[in-house]
Amino acid sequence: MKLIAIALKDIGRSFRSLFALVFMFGVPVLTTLIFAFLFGGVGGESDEFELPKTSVVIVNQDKGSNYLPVIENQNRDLNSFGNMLVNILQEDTFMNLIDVGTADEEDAREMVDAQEVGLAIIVPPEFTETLIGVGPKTLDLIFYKDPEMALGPQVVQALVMGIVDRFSASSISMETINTVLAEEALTLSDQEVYALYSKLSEAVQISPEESETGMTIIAPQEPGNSEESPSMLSTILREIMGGMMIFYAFFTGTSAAQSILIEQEQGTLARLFITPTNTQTILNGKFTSGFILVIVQVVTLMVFSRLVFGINWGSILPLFFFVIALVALANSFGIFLMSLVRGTKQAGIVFGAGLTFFGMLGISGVFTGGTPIESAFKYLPLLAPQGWAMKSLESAFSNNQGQSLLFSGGMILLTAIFLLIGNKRFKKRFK
Amino acid sequence: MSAPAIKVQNLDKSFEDVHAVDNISFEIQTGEIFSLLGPNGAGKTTSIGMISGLLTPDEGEASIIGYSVQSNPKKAKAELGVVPQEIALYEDISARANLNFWGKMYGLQGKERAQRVDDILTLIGLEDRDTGPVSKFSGGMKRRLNVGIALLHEPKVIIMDEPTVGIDPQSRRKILDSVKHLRDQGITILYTTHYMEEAQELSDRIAVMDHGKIIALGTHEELINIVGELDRITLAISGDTNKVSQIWHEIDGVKHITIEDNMFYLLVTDSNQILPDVFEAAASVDVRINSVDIQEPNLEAVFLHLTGRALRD
Amino acid sequence: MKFIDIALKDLYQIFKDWEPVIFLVIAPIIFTIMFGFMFGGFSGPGDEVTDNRLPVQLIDQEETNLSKSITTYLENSDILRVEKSTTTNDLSKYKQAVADQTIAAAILIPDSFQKIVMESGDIPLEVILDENTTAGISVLQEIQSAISRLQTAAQTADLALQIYEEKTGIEDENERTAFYSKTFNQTLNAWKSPLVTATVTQTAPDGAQSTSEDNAFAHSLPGMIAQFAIAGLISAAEIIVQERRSGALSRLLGTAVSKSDILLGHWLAMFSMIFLQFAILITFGQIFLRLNFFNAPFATFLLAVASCSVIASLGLLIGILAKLPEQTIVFSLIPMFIFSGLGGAWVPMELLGETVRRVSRFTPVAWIMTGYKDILLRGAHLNDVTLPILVLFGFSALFLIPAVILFYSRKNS
Repeated sequence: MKLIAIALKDIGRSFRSLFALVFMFGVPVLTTLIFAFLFGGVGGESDEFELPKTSVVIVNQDKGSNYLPVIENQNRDLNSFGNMLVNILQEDTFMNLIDVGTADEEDAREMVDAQEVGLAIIVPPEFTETLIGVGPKTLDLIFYKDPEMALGPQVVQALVMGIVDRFSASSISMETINTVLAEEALTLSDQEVYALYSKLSEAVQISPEESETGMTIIAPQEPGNSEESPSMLSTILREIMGGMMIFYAFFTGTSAAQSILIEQEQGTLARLFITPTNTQTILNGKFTSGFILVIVQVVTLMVFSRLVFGINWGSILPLFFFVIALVALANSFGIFLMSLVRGTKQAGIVFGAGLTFFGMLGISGVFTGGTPIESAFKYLPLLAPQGWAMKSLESAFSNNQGQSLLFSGGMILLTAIFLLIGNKRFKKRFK
Repeated sequence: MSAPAIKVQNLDKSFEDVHAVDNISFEIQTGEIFSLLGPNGAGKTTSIGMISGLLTPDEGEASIIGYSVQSNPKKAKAELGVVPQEIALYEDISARANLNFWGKMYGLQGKERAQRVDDILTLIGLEDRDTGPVSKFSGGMKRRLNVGIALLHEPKVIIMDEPTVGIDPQSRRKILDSVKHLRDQGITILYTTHYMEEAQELSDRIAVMDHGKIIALGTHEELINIVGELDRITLAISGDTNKVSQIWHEIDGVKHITIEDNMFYLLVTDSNQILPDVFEAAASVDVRINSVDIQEPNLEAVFLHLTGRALRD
Repeated sequence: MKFIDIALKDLYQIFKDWEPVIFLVIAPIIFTIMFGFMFGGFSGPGDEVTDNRLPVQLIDQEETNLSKSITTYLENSDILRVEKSTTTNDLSKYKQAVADQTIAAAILIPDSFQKIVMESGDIPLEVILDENTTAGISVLQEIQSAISRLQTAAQTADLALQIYEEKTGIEDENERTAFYSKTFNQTLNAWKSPLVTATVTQTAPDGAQSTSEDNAFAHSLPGMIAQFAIAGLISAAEIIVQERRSGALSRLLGTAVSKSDILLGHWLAMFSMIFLQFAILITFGQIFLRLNFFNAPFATFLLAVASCSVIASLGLLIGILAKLPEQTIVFSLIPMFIFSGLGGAWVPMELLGETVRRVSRFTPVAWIMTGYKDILLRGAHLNDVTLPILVLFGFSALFLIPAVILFYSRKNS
């Protein structure tokens, strides 16, 4: 009963503290809300993350070629691949991705420098001639981009080079056919060449969206519940919210343990020891308040983010393991850290610097996934207890029960170690 | 014969290089007010730390109503209330919430606890201020609550560690009166102080402590008798201290002279008779007496006599 | 000059605990590196030492010349690191591996591959990937690009075969297949030397034109400097709060010190602390992250002064508004998160919608980042960053004016 009285007293004081409430709930929610706003949605079934449109200006210097037959595209007669490129990019198909205009080179470069457009594409005069094999062997298409932009120009570049590939296809095909036939001592008549060329040109005019590739995309393992796959925005927010939740759960656990030091300085801890209450009961009461606070925090954040952001936290069983293990580890780590320091001043530094460092290390995978340093950050987070929590949560996302047991089990083992050391140190201090 | 309320046997405690408490022993009978008197750093707080179970003695033992604090702490602490020197309250919660919590820590349950909380609030005069946060209380109010908590579980023994330090005279008066009131109810009180007049007013017996040792123990009269019926004359002088000290030693009736920073403390048999001789002797060696104070034998004199130092901060 | 004494006293109080101060320098460096990589672009080919390409498992169930051509082609990708697996009918382990993100994708060449390609020109690859991850998107783009070329190869081989059959009348299935495969392979090889290549250029930091060399830290460092400068206000603002709570302010007002001296002294202390932070981090960026701040030293300096002025003014307002030390933490962290998040410190502006970009103009962090990115990426000089500097001084006034009014209007302020 005394244990519960101590725990309830501490919990009540925490809920009276604006600072504690802000760190427990306010900051994780605020951070995720900001990300949700940044990406323009708040989750749910239909919200998808879309890259904003990139403004593009094309400098079409292509002089065409007399050898190129007139190409019909969208009911227009075009006499150069440069014109065709402009035409294709201005199609409705791409209107969500790019905004296309044309200008001369000087104006185009100025527009990029003035950040009026993100990218200028400079099509050189020999574009068509090179593509049909009557001009220079190779040619550079210049992409002059706004240095502040990376992703948009990259996407547009991939798109444009895909179109250019189709233009090149007919020349490459033509040359290859001539080569393989020549190896068999066969040649083509002019008529045959023309007919062949017409066939090859038809393919150029079919957009990638219209052509069938035959490729099948198979999604990886589905989560254990019956819901649809999460949208990309929801996935991003889930990672961020999960990371924030873990990060601040450890703050709550440490804050609860820090109350031991605060009470020591206030004199109320000594007063507790003077009562007929044994030391372990007092410590257990304080530890219990931490456990309850973290449980409340984690459950509240999960329910809130489910309702507001539509975040699907994954399947129940791994999630349950994760929550229990997180609550235990966040508190035991806090107890361990606080047992190392002498007073609240040192604790403040541990709190601010230490927890932030370990926290960021532990959730660094959220930020480095899909980047060149992803492999380096695959195992590094496991140096921090927060890293184990993050892995456990990710296995709940992917309904990987084996991994969930592994990481949650690891967390429980770490809990036991931290609790053992922390409890021992505190008992020794208060003997 | 029933066990003494507090029994202290050969308590000893050192902190690194400091021998804070040096083998002290005493007994306090039920219903006594027993004062532990000594300057700051004498070892009073360390002693009561061991008696209340907060500190583990290096040697020795203390017991409360026959229960050893070291080997049977739960029972011993159940009989003990402690009023710490520093205010030890949860300032962000109300007085009632504080009392409720501490009542639980002392094992009070349900209705009994609720009744005791009400009683204590009335006793300490905070029944109208029981709901706001303690942080809004005045210093005096906090002190009263600090005392109230120690009384919640109706302990048989109360330790009060310098409860009047830094408070106004009115509040001090109230505390001293409440101590007497508690004694009248049969509660045993161990009271630590460095104020001689408090020890004098309240105590049945007094232990004088200095540098970790009890240097004298007894009733007020017994302690005074150590210095005999000697008056104390305190003189502030300007002039040659050696010369005047020499000449004053020669005056018949001057039993003891202590000098500290140009202040002379003379223990004399009859101050009325000796004072004119003292002035005359000083004048003869061109020493000017700037102030004179005469006190009848008191604990200050006892301390001075035993330690050669004044009982002051 | 009593305000200088007040400022020095504040600085002493701030710096006597050096550990939090060190943290305020180390933390932005760590976050700069992490955010720099996070939005520094998708995976690249890597260098001689590390291969940063996306790991992809390839299962060839057919093992024909045609399927081997495709395998070889994909192995030469700049984006994908292909590892061949033994043939299997059980795809579940590959699905699990993609779900666990141990591989980016798995590509299956089914056992009817050659037949389908020759008959229809389709490329019936089966690809296991997660379209909701950046890795998955990268793989999909690369495969789609490859398929386009594979289809060209298929079409070329088909046309060549038709002509070959017409001219030679060949009927032997093996010979037909061999000819088809040879043509297919040669077409693929021809793509190794494409007719048209892309060259990406941009304005270089010194204002010249250069080939694109994205320094992702140019995006992340200015934002993190601003973010952690705001975080650093906690300790400085707390001094103002403690001064009021302890009665020291009342005592100070009882001396010959004016209210304006007090305000100026506190502001100056905050400004100095933040300016030192800026100086250290800018120097760090210049030396270790190859960010050329010193290409426009006067612009960099003045922009720093304007930035520090805003943040110091915000700190003064927080110190005056907060009643408890705890409140300084809350009042500092919330603007830190909001201004940094909306200002583009976490996510590059190009990824954010128009609404967000408009809203960001109302945050000082956005203007700090605009100014520094212009210096670092476009070789801007003082003329070019005049607008951000003026706007920042405007924000400074926005925070300072209510702080002054509040301070003067309080009885025992």
